[in-house]
Order: sequence, then structure tokens, then C-alpha cells
Amino acid sequence: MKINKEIVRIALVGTQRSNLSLELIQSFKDLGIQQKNKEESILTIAAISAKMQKLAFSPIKINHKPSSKIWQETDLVCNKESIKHLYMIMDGAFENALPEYLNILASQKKCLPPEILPNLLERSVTNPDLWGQLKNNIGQRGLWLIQQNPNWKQLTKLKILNEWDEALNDERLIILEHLLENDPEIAIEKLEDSWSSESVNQKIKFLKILEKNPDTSIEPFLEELLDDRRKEIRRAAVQILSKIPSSSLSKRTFERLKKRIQIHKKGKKITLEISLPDKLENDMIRDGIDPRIQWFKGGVKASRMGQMIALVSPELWLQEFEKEAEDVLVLFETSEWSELIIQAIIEATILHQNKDWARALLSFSIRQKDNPTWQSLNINRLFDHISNDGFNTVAVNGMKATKGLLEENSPLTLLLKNCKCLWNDELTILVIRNLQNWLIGENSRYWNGWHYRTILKNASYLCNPHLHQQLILNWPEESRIWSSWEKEIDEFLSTLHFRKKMIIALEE
Amino acid sequence: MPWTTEQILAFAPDTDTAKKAQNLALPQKWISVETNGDAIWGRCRGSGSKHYQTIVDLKEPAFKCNCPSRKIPCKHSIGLFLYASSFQEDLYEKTKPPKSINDWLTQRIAKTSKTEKQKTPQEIQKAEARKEKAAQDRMLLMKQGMRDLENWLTDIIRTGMAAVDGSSNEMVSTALYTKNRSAELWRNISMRMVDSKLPGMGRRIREMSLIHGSGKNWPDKLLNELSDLYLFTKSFEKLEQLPDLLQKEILRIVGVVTKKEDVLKQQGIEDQWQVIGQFIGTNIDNATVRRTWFLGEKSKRFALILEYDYNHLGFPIQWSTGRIFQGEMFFYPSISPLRAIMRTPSILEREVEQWNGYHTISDAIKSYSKVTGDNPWIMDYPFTLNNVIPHIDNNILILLDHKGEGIPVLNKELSIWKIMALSGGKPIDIFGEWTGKELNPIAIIANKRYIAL
Repeated sequence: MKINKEIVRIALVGTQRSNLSLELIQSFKDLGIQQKNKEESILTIAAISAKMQKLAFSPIKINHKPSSKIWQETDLVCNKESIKHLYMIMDGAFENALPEYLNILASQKKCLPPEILPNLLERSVTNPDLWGQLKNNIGQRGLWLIQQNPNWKQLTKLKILNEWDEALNDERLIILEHLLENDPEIAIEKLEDSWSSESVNQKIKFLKILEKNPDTSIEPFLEELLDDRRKEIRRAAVQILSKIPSSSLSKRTFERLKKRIQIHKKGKKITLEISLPDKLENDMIRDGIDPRIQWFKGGVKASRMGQMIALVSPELWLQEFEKEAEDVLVLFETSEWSELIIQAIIEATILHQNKDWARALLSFSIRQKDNPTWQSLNINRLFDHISNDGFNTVAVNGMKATKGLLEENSPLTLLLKNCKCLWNDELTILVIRNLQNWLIGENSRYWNGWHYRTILKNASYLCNPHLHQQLILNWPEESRIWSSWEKEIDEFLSTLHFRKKMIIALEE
Repeated sequence: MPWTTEQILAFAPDTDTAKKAQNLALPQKWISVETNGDAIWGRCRGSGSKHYQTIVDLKEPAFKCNCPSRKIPCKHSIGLFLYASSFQEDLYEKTKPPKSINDWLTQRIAKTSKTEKQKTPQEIQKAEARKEKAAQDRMLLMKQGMRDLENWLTDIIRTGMAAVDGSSNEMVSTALYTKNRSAELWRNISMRMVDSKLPGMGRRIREMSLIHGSGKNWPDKLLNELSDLYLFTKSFEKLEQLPDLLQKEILRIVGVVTKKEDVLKQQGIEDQWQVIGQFIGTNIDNATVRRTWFLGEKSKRFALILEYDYNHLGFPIQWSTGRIFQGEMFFYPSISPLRAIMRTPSILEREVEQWNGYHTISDAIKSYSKVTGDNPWIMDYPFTLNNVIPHIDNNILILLDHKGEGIPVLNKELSIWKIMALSGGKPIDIFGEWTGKELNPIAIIANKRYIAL
């Protein structure tokens, strides 16, 4: 080994700049190397040494024989056809079909083919959503495999559950999440013990975990944080406490709001009277109302009002007015501060992930698409919070009310382009027929309809693929603009065809 | 139809064609699709008013399409193949091919079985004399080239490898003068080799020039290559004294091409050849290189079909991994013959489910030692190992036989974890190339399923 290192060193710096050691010269003699110069000797000994290493390779001996009975062979792997489909997804041809593939596979109680596991496990380390799906598809073999790779062990949380004090920062996030699901009291105990020694960033990460599981058991801990000297911590605590409907903070804020929102009845006419807060008390600031933020139209006072509405659960308004969400919206609309209230209600709906309100607000937005007052409503973030049924109801009603083509930036177009809810058959047919009608129309050639292309792409993974046979029909191939649409429509139909075959194979 | 989607897509010359072909594997894309059992043909709707006539000869398979694409096979051929493969065989109504299609299929049969035109004895004698004279001239040139190479190698050791960075290929600024001079040194010797009718050496030197500074152990790797080349020049000096087959091996390495027709004159080996591994990559000359490993089921012989595609038009025959071809394999003359060509290959319906392999590591190593003893210039040697258990030890994957003896496996991306996943801690059969230090894994059979790594 020492000789080898010397040979490489000499070759690297050159024989003209270094001398050969006596040991090396002796090695030349031992091997019978008698070249005419140093360079040839170096090259010869290096070559002989490399050849000898190859020829003299001796197998590695392992003292402990690995056991071959490590896990129970009960996994039922998906069939050959499904494996082919998975390869196509992994190669990027239909990569958006992966979540659907994994869901169906899990529902069939089948497992992924082993060769795919390393790739998906590697991706899961940085993609918790993927792991959430994947863990149902890996079988006993996958669990065994995870234990072999130190990088993957954290996925199953098995290694670190009892090692809070020794765990790294990221590992403690996993432990906290696990404890909150199983033993919230211990979780808070651990958190309180180490809280003072944590960095602000780590504290915020812990609070994000708490936000996923808002529960009364964590309220006292969070109440204390309302007095923390860091603004980021106080703000995060307010958000979580607001998500606990029974929390003192939620009740306090709602009580303040009730005093400022009054219903007036004059005969059949019901109106809402709003009085904006003139002063900002200290307890309001403690409960998360920022005096400097100005994010609603109407100035500082309106902003304070908006912040309060945005914090409380929109569900409370249904109880307060004893009305459905749609009717409460009508009531809010009568107020002179209607824009403020509705934008704040959107924020509250997102914070509290309220599906009914998401549906009502989207439906409202679609109905009011031509009313300039409501055209600036920011509805995009509601798409993640609407239920499947709610989405289809809103979208079908919207499509039925649409005469001609969908406008590029209308709320319904945004919903169809961006929402990830599954489409029912009625909605699919309505959208596709709408596109087909437009393609044969006289005006179609003056406009490229980019938004329809995005809608088609979204629909290709969200609509029922068994409609493929039906959707293949009635495309106006004679249309003057058909050639500029053929590619997207083919992609749409190919994706449906692929998903259809994929589902059939997985369910076999 | 015995073809799977994955196998069919493997025929595509690039991913773009594969993706486009999948979009063509839809009913609305085909005006007609017919088959006679040995071939399928169809008319595909083009983007304009044109329709393309596409044929797939299922025996090899081979492809023909009258579309303007220069790629072979084109997206229409793969699309037709995919589309037809999605149907059950009994759904096809078998028909006779129309004349144009029949002509192409007949021509293909004639082409593959065409024998060499007979020459007169005088013509043969003249040709032989010309050949001999050319060979002598070439040998003189090559010997001079090898002497130059030897001098160049000793010069590098004299000045030091650190001073000869060959990675820069452009003259950028005076600050890089030294670096660019070094690059010129590599370029010059490489061109000198080509001029001396030693293109194999020229290519190897161009590849070596990239080692400088390419990783932690680059000095060891570069010295390894330089010293190997030096030993090779020494062997070349004594070429005439070496056994005939070793001479041929050395000449093949330096770049003396053995003509295909000469290879086909040798005794072929008729067998059912399993396609057990394939690499497709780009060489230093930007040509697509395909290395396909075969294993004869009866002969138990390995064969390597090495192909180059300089124009990136795709390879005419598609060797689909995990499939089996019936055919006659002809080996290039060598002391350890591996490189080969196959005549009249036809694909079988069954797939590779098992292979003949070593059951102990020591048997495999012994066979390698024997081959290397006979032919020190052999590079990577094919191994099939049966019933080995993969085991991770200090982040190294070791394949263990039933005696507890093992060999290390080269870790490339996730391949060692694929092996672990497929094994699940249980015995597997594996194929790879042995470098003398570690196994470069290529494919596995687990539960009678072939999986390329």
C-alpha cells in the first residue's frame, strides 16, 4: 500500500522533481523490473500492481450470515400490466397519475413492485405528502427495506420516538407530531421543558405542527405564548388558538365582533349595521389584532375589524344569525362594509378550512362575476378547502349558467383550471361540449383560448376516465382551427385512455 | 401479442419519440390496422391531409414507415406496435398483406439470407495480395505510432501527471495558457494515433484526458490507465511472438476492424440467446453506443453485441432486454471471444425467467482469473451469479454466496437499493460486469422476473 502511494505521488509530481525511495528501488529489483529509465520502471510497476490486484482478488468473508427469514412474504404485488403503467408514470409520461395510482393500489390492498420502492422512498424523504400515500403501498418488504437504509428510517418514525432529548431538530418535529396524535399531554410537557432553549425558527416549526392538530389540551400553553416577546411566535399562537372554537381567544374575539355587528329589521328588509372599532385596546392587540396592518380597503379601523372577522370561525355566524352560509352572505352584502366583511370571511374560511363556506363563497363569486365590486375577490386559496360535492355543485351550476365560451379570468374558469377536486360526469360533459361548440363556432379562429388548454390538462387527471369512449366523439376535425388544438385534445384523450387502462389493471 | 408496452417503448430511439408514440396508440389515430401474424401494418392519420403507411415486422422486429421522419423506428411505427399490442391476438382478423407491404417483407427475408457473391480464384488471389501489402504497410505505421505513444507516456511521468490537464478544449485566455497547452498535448497524441492507424488508442486517450481532476482518486485512475497503456505498447512490440488469437485481440483493441463478412465466415453458434443486459450511452466521439449482453441457453456462452450509431438515426434491430432471440451468433476472433454479431435473429415468445450462473463466488473469480491470465487486456467480464444474498456492510453492498463469501457491488445511484428491494434479504440471481474489484450490476432475476437495473 505504501509503495502504491509512493508510485502515484511520483507519477503526479514527475520523476524530474522527485527521487525514488530505497524501498521502491528494492521493489523494482524484487519484481525483476529492469527498465532503462525511472519513468519506465514506474509505469511497469504500476501496471503490474494493477494487474495483480485484479488477479489476486479474494472474496470478502462475512462472519455473521444474514438471515433469510426476515419478514413475512404476505405482500400481494400488483399485476404485470399495472407494473408497466407504473413505469410509464415514473418515466414522466403521465406523472400526475401517481397519486391516483397509489390510492387505487392501497384500496385493492396490493403493493408496489419492489424495484420501484427505492426511487419513491428517496422522494418521500423530502415529500411528506407522497409518504402519506406511499406508506400504504410498500408492504412488509418495504418496511424491511426502510430499516436497511439510515436515510429512510425517519419515515417510519420508529427509530426516534423515545429520544426527544438526543434527537436532532428535524427529528423532534416528527416526535412531536407523533406524540400529539397519541399522547398530547406528554407532547406539551416535552415542548414546555425545552421551549426556553429553542431557537425562534425551531419554535415556529413546532407551532406549525401544533397548528395541524388544534386541540383544547394545548390551549394553556398557547395562551402563555400570547405574551411572548417575539411577534412571529405571538402571531402563530393566535392563529392556532383561533382554530380552536372553544378557546378563550376565539370567544373573546367573537364577543367583540358581536357588539359591532348588529341586525336591523325594517319590515321585511333586514340590514346589517357595522360599527368599526375606534380604539384598539391592549387586550385586542394581545389577541392578535395588529394596529399597523392595513390590508383592507377603508383605513386602519376597517383593517382592525377585518382582522377580527378573519380570525373567528365563519361557522359562528351561522349560529349567530341562524342561517345557511349563502343567506349569511346575502346579509353581509347589504352592509356598507360588505367588501371588507366578505374578504375577511374568505380569510376565515381558509384559516378554519370550512368546506361549506368555501362552497358558498365560490358560488357567490361565480354568480357575481359581472359585478365590478366583486371582481377583485381573491378566491384562489379557497380551492383547497371546498369538498368534492361542493365543487361539482358550484361548477355544474356555473357551467349551466354560462352562455357561450368561458371567459379567461372568470371565477369559474379559475376554479376549473386550478381546483384539484374530482369532476363528476355531468361537469365533464358540460365542459367538453362547451369546448366542442366553441371549436366549431365562427369566432373561434380569432382567439387561441389558452385557458381551455389548462382546463383540459387539469380535467385529464380529475374526470372519470371511463367516459373516454364518450369523450372521443364529436370533435370537429374539419374545423379551421383543429390543427392548433389537436395536440392538446389528443393529450387529454390519451391521458384518459391511460388512466382507464391503469384503473382496470389495478382493479383486476 | 407477446410484446409488452415497456419492451415496445424500449425500441424508441429517444424519449420524445416514445412519448409521441404513446399518443398515437389510440384508436382514433388509425384508419386501418391489419396483420398476417408475422407483421402488422396500418394507415395513420398525419397532421395534414396525408396518411402514413406503417409496417412492423414482428419477427425481429423491424420497422418501416413512409413518414418524413429520419428516426428509425419513427413515432408511427412504435405507436402502431403499441396500439396493436393492446388487443388480444384473437381479435385480429388475419389478412394477406397488400403488394407494397409484401414486397418489403420479402426483401427483408432475402436480405438477411443473402450469401456472398462467389469470386474467381484469380480475383481472390489478387485481393489477398493487396490485403497483405496493405496490412504490412499498416503494421509499420502502427509500430511507429506505438513507439511514439511509449515516449509520450514516459514524458508524462517525467513531467508529472499534475501538469497535464486534458479537460480544457478551448483556447479561452492567456491565464489558461498552461491548461490549454496540456489539452493540446492530449489532442496531439490522440491525432497522432489516428494518423498511425491506431484509432482505438486515439479514442482511449481522448477518454483518458477527461480523468484529470475528475474526482478524489483521479491520480490513481489516471496512472492506472497510463500504465496499462504502457504495458500494452510493450505487448505490441512483441506482437509477432504472441499466440495468434492474442494478436488478433491486440489488433482489435488498437482499432483494426474485422469485417462483418469475415466474422460471418467463422463457425456460428445456433442457440436461444437471452438478452440479459444493455447499456446505451454516448462515446467521446458523440456517437450513440449500444452494448447488449447475451447468454446462450444451451451453449452457456456470453456474447456482446456492440453497435455504434453516428448519425443518431436509431438502431435497425431492437434487442429488448429480458427477451430471448433464436439465432446464430458469430464471434469476433479473440483469445476470449465475447464480441459477436447475430445472423437471422427471431424473437421468441417466452421471456428470461432464469439463467445459467455461478453458484459460488470463488468459482466466478476463478473463471475470471483464468480468462485474464490468457488475455490480460480483457476489460470488464460478464458474470451471472445464482442464489446470492445482497447484504449491506458499512454502506457497501456485498453479494454473498451460500458459503458466506462475497464480492462488492458498484454503487451507482439507487441500484444497490433496487437490488436490496428486489431481494428482500432473500437469494437472487444477478448479472453484471466484473471489473476485477467490484461488480457493476446490470440485471436481476427475482421470482422468475427479469428486471434491468
